[in-house]
Amino acid sequence: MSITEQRPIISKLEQQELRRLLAENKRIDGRNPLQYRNISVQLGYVEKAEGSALVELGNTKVLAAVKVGIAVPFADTPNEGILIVNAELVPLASPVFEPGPPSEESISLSRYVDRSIRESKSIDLSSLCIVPGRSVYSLYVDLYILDYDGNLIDASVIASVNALGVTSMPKYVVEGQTVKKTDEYFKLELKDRPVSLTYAFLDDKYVVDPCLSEEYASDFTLSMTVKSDDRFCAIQKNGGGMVSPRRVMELLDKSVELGKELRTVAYSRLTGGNG
Amino acid sequence: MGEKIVLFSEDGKRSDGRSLDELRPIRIKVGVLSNAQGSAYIEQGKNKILAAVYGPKEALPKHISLPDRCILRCRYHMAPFSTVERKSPAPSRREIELSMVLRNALEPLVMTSLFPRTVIDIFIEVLQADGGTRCAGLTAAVLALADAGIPLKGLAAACAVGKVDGKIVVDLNDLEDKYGEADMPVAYNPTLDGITLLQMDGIMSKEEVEQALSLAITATQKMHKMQVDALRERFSVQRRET
Amino acid sequence: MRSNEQQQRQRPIVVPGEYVGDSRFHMPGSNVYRLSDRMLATTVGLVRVDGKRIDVVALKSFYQPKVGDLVIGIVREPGIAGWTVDINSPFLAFLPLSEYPEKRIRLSRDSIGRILEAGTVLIGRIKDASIFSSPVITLKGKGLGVVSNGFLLSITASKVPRLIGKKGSMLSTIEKGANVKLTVGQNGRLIVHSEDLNVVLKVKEVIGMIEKESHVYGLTERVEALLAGRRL
Repeated sequence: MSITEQRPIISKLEQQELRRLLAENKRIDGRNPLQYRNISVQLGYVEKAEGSALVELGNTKVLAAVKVGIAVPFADTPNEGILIVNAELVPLASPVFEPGPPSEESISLSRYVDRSIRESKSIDLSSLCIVPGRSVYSLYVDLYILDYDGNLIDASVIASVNALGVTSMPKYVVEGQTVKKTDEYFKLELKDRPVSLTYAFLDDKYVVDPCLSEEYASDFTLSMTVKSDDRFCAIQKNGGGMVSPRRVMELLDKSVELGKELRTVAYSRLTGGNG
Repeated sequence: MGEKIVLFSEDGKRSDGRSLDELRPIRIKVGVLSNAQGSAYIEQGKNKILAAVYGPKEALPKHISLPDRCILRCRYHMAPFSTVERKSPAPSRREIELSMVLRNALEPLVMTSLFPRTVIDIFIEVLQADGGTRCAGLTAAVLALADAGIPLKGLAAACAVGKVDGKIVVDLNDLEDKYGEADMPVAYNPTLDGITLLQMDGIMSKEEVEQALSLAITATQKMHKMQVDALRERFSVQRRET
Repeated sequence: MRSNEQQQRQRPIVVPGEYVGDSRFHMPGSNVYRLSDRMLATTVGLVRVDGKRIDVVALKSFYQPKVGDLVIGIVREPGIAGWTVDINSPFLAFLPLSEYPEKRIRLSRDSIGRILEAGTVLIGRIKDASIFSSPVITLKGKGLGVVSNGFLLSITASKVPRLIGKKGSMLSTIEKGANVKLTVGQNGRLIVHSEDLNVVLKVKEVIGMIEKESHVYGLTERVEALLAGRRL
């Protein structure tokens, strides 16, 4: 059952200020409506993971870690590796995150990041097969949200792609009836570097990369994931409210432009390939 | 290797004989359950979905209620026998996400400030699934809300458009959903020209998304007319034989 | 005699979001909202123009308490200094001890429960109604109090005015035709003061007809015909 959330009360004053500033195309932290906060990426942040990245988007901090293993493939995709994305809204990240089973927000976040990676074909899952129908590589991408200041989606996509971009896969070989781990490693090939752009809507205006108070004050957000070839691989409206078709089309345009810039900044630390 | 899936026949018709912008046959009936305050049943292609509304009623426990408006509780659920492989009755991650997505798509239509401290329960049960269940479920849930007499700003209908074999099509069936290149469910309210549900996954260029969105608006407008007819039929009197 | 077709002619039904008037020339009444200069319906119903005001009479609605309304309630449970009462509305009502028509009452939770048990049917009046707190009802007044005999029936709240009729005309038609006294609550509940099952079934049929056909012309005649045809 999904229940209307008890939103933290944002003071009337703050709501008013946000809207007044927005009417003049200004934002509470001095940014302009289509400007992202500072992004910093630290690759290989946790050593015991085969790939990892800590991303800071303003104050929002997301740690993505990739664990590689082997598993039995799913019945309907016997020749494909397995990708599982799981987001954890760690209670220390925000007063509104509570310990317990995954909330609908964490599930929704996990699934959107998963679609962004999967549908963009950033990972060629068919290259991760060891023994067709019996043994394939499994990639677990765990998203650990450490500090929540708005826009978990974009930060999580950037963190995941960076983490996958430096993932070292332990090589497994077939030995008779079993599969054995060797001491060799090979680099996971990243076929694309998608970025997601999230816009928060306040009345009829929108801002990209909302900070926490903008997110709380907004009616809803709209996320769009763009691939390197400017095509879209995921779109999601998050939250209530309504958006006109015209606005959606407008954002499609903006996302292609902004996506190019964002990709350069977000993946500057990954070597090689197209930035 | 399995047999090749044929999504388009030689004469350009889809796997079920439809043209690109054709909706599946739709049957709607409003007011089908005796206990719920409002209810509706929809058949779209092989989809069979039931929606029921209870409320507004006092929101208990008190901590879930809001002092200045009513809250919504929404449950999207697929029956274990609704799919080819039996689906476990426990809510899957997909159902949890869709319950939220659907609640967010319905909430903007309800005049919530008229009923502080109450709750409206919305149940969407998929009895038989054939692609586009969240859309058909939303279309039925809106009618269940109207049937319950809950004041709404307007009606909304939903339809999944997508890309199959490079072509933009309307109302994806299960096969097209599984084997197509993109799937985009859209819920649209014509009164306020507002989209309340929008998702896309797959690969689409900007132009393709724009084209698909336009087709989705047209399709949902057609479905809106069916909703209006279904509501009028529900409340009019059968011609009596004297 | 009007033709069958004319008798079956129905007033057009509007649906939520449908245009019902121009707000530059009219004012929005019940179940109508304004969107710039358009007035739109919020529920399924019939348009009624009353001078400058446009209302939509909902074909199905739940009861919203108004001060002064006569209501038929069912006691839910004893609370502190009173009882919560189900008045067939999204909001649970409260009957305070001070509104109970008896002089000496001991103020303990047990005795409150014994004065009015859960399930007791009451005829009361709304004393206080604000959407921000529970509506308050009173049992002090003529004709108000506990109902110990009779049958409880219900009709959708928005049809109550039609059931009562202009100056009570429809209600007296039914009472005369079925030879029984009815107490009708604004909250869509009514008491049939009779022990005779046949009488109750007849009344049930009549209110069923009113509920389904209130927007079809010639209802009064059909109600009269139904009562006459079934007279014992």
